[in-house]
Amino acid sequence: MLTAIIIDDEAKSREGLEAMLQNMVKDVSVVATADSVASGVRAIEKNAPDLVFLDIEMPKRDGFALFEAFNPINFEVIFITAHEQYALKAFQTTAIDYLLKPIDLDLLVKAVDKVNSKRNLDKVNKNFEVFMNNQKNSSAHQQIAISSSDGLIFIKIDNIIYLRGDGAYTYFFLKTGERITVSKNLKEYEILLGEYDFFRVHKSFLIHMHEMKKYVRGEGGYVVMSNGDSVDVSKRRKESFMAALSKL
Amino acid sequence: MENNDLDNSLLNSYKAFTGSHFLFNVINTIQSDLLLNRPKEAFQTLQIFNRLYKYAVRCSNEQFTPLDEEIDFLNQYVSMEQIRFGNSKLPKSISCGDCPKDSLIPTFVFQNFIENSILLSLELPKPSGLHLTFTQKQKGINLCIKLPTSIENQYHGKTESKTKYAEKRLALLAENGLIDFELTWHKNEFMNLFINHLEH
Repeated sequence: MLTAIIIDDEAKSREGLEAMLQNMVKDVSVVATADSVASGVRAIEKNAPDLVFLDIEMPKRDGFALFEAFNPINFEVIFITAHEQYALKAFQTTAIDYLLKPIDLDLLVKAVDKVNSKRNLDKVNKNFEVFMNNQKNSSAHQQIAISSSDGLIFIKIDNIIYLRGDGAYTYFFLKTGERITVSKNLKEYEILLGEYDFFRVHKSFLIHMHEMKKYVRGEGGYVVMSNGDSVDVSKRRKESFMAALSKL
Repeated sequence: MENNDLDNSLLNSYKAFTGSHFLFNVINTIQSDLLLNRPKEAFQTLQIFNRLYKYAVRCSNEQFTPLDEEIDFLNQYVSMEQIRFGNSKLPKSISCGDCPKDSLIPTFVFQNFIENSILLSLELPKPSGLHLTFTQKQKGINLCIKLPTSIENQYHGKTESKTKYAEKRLALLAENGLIDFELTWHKNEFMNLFINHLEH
């Protein structure tokens, strides 16, 4: 059963959608409603819903402002609005669907089904990822599994040169020249790859120590990787980095 | 050419009012009442919607309309917004004040300004409200819309887009010698619109 929150400044619109969801749509339960972005943020923090129905045109701050309050976003979003012109912008966010008022029941059911399917797939991917990563010690060709938007990608650890973190996202830089983006923060990979001679030289960088070509001294200095990229070493981590180098 | 511009400006004001977002929101409101087993409220919303649309269609070719008819229309419009937003801060009713009821005013212009001020009033903390006053000034009609000053700065960012059709229409009517008008923004009375229909 999905838990849902409705954020809409019009009381009747909230009540009508809640009635539709409770009486006509399976597998969804409305746990809270809110009449603004600010009260919506509070409701999300309190209830941690699976799904948010979000109006766009609201007083003070429009619906898109909700995304500024959460990083990463751990819920699905379905936009509900009477304005067609926001569709493109809505899909540029993480929204799973965009429904035009007055709400068509068939489209509402399909949108909720889409959320259910996505969450089930995410769960399967997550389980498989955990399974694969647990197998890594017994594998001759050690590799990790990472979730992408359409499934799992398997990467040999030896193929990774370095990783760069940017908020909720991590970029993998591979020997093949590929760059893969994953919606997980760098900390998770620091834990996962720590035992394979990866080292966090900077808050934004995790490097494969066997892929270093050169270390250039400086306040923190920087490392030139095997693909020619330069990676800064933070002043704070320089001492522990030197200790790690001495163990290689 | 000038007449075409005037006709287009009237058409734009008409479209701005009868546009899809207003229509979709009203139907959504009626749908919600039916879902919640409130047929009387759904009926009431539908009645107001009928009046609004009939007036809009009837006046879609009229550059000017008598003040009392436009005020009836504005009252229906505000009632609809009260139904949608359930907001007690909106004015209960708008009256002609001391203005002659048959004064001719540009069709749909006041609605555009009132729509904008209603949206702004929804941002106000309770118990602030929206005050609308029509008064006669010399030979013309003056509309004053009062809101507390705290949102004055936010207002200007929005007025350009939300009232652009009305402002353009006023300018065209003046250029064609059909009205005199004066639109001013004050800190405490954030909007004053004076319109004088010129007799020919």
